[in-house]
Amino acid sequence: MRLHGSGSARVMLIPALLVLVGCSLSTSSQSASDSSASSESSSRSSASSSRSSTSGERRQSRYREDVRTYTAAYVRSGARFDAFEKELSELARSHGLTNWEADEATYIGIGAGLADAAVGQAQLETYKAGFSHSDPFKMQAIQRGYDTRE
Amino acid sequence: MIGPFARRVTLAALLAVSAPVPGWAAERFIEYLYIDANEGGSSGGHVALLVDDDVFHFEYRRPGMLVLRRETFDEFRHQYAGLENRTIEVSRIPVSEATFRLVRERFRHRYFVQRRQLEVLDTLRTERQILEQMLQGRVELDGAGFFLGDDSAPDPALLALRQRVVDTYGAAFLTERVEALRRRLAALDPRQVPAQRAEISVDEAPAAAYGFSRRYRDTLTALTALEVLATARPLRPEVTITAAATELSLGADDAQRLRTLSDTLATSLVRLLESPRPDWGFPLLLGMARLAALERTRESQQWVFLDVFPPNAQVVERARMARRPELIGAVLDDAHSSLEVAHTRLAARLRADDTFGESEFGDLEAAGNHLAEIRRALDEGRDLRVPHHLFVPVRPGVRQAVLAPSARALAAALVAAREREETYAHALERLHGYHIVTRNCVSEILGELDVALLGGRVAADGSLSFVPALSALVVSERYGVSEVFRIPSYRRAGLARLYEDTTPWRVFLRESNTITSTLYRRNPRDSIFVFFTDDVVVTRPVFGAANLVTGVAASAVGLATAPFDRGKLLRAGLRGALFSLPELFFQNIRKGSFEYVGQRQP
Repeated sequence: MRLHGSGSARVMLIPALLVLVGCSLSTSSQSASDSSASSESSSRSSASSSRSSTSGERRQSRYREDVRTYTAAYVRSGARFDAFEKELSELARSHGLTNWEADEATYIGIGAGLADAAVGQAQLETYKAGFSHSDPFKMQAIQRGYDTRE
Repeated sequence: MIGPFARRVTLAALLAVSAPVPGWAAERFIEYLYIDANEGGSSGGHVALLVDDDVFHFEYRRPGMLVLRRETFDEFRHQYAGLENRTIEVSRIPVSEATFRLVRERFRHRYFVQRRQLEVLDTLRTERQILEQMLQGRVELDGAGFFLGDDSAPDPALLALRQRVVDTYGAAFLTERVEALRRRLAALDPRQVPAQRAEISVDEAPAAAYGFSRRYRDTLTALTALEVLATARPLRPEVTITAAATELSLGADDAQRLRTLSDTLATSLVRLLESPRPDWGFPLLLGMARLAALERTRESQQWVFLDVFPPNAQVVERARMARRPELIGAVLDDAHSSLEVAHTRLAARLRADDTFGESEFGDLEAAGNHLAEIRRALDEGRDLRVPHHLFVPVRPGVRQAVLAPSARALAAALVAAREREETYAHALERLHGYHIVTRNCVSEILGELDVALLGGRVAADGSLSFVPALSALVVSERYGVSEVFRIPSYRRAGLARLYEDTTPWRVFLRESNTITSTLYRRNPRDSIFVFFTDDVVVTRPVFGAANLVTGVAASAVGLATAPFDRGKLLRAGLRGALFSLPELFFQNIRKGSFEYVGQRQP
């Protein structure tokens, strides 16, 4: 539907809006201070997609995409490997996965992240062995992710 | 920065060579979304940007931070047009493929960097909280609350799992694993804390870090998981959910499916026990709890799931349930549909390979919870927990700290942890601080679009472009909008359908107020009001006056009832009066909102 005359109507709103201008209040702002040490952190849970409103396939693709971004950042940062694994655990949990080592999407995402970080073929073999703990199926999935880079 | 003087020249030059692309010739579109105001979280309106299927928008987070959110368009529309009942105006900007990618990458990168920074803050908070707990001699562990104590009768599913572990790794495996974990606990040093860079920026994500207290908690969780496995402790009855509903009865195909699920889950748990990852304790506890729930399903021939509702789930009290048939209908519809989809997805996964699909099972678990909750509410007269944001069942439990460092060492670590948390929180507030004019949800989106489309930020020129309601005009002028259209709010969409099918004056009379409306039922979060004024203009001041009187009257009654309802009615009445004032001057903010909107609704 095309809009007509909405501009002038909005100008009339100015007096009210000058005192009310503001953006949406984050719904996670309360939970941030209330969250316990053991429960899922507020920024992680608010960053993830709800099971009820997002299809399984869409969530899985989001997960792969997030793993890809986190992996590329890890490779560039040079952080400790176990710290990255811990970060990956929390990321996976925000997508509803706890046993992320058993999910192929994790390794496809890692492979794509290695490609994003411009890891060369020689280094790739080292990373593949490291991330997969030399599991051949996981190494294959990493290679597939690496090969599918844009 | 581009100064006001050079702005038009710069724009003309840039538009001539790059943007905008005419609508008919565009390869791609990005869409600027203006969301109408409503009372509550956003009385000045809100804005967002849709790129591909990602909606990016900046929200205000207390005490004063601007946080970039990313959601799918369906999630965003469900929240804003559905639950918050706000119309979304879409301004479509045609762009080339290269510009589209540039905008998408800029927003994705900025989102990722800030998300990581907020996660670091969460981590620092968690580390401080664990140290506080350790000083009390107890630590809260995710998953430890699923199981009863070790003096209970063993669970048959866990007994079988334990036997499988012994068969795979040998009789001494569990004891050796426990000893290794105890050695690891004893060797942890509270002074081992990864250094966090003091300087933070919007361009660079912080590196991953894993400090003493989280390592301690994860190791203790693993130790707890091994103790549960060794003693095959049964589930606590209250951690599961089921209902005597035909939808949750096992069908003919389910017996085989159940066997496969239990078998693949047990296999994945056996593998998990030799995982090198540092935090395998929680997934093991959760997996064992799910295994025990599957065993109960087999025994009862009725699906039994772990309860995934968070402790602070929104609730519709049973007294109000009878008055909300439309809500019950919508929740039931969603529950049936998501259960069907989840069953199909799980069956496809089981046919495709022989591994446990946690994602698919998680969907079934959430859908089963959804259905069992509504059935129990209807059949047993319970309050209804509203199924928003169902995720991984967590069930924290408290256990004694063992092999912890001395209280003195912990106290010193706590002082340092508090300092790190405060320093980082202040740095984040400085970096992402909210300002009503110069840094709000509009300025940040326009700033990013300026850089991506025009090559640099256009300086603020004293205009009111920072006001969400006026920003779409700026977008139209600056970026060459080709089309504008509206996605109506939930109530306005319903009204449009009614006007098509029924005599207009009847619809108007019935739906103009909160008493006889069939589309709206009062949401306890809304203020007290009688007349809707978002779909009328001429009668707005009259309706507003009636709303003002109603708000004042409700406040007077609320004053008397304050000792009994903790001031709930008083607050709702006062807000009702406040949001009636703009209506006297032909302005509308309040639109009413909804407790639940079905997934298939707009």
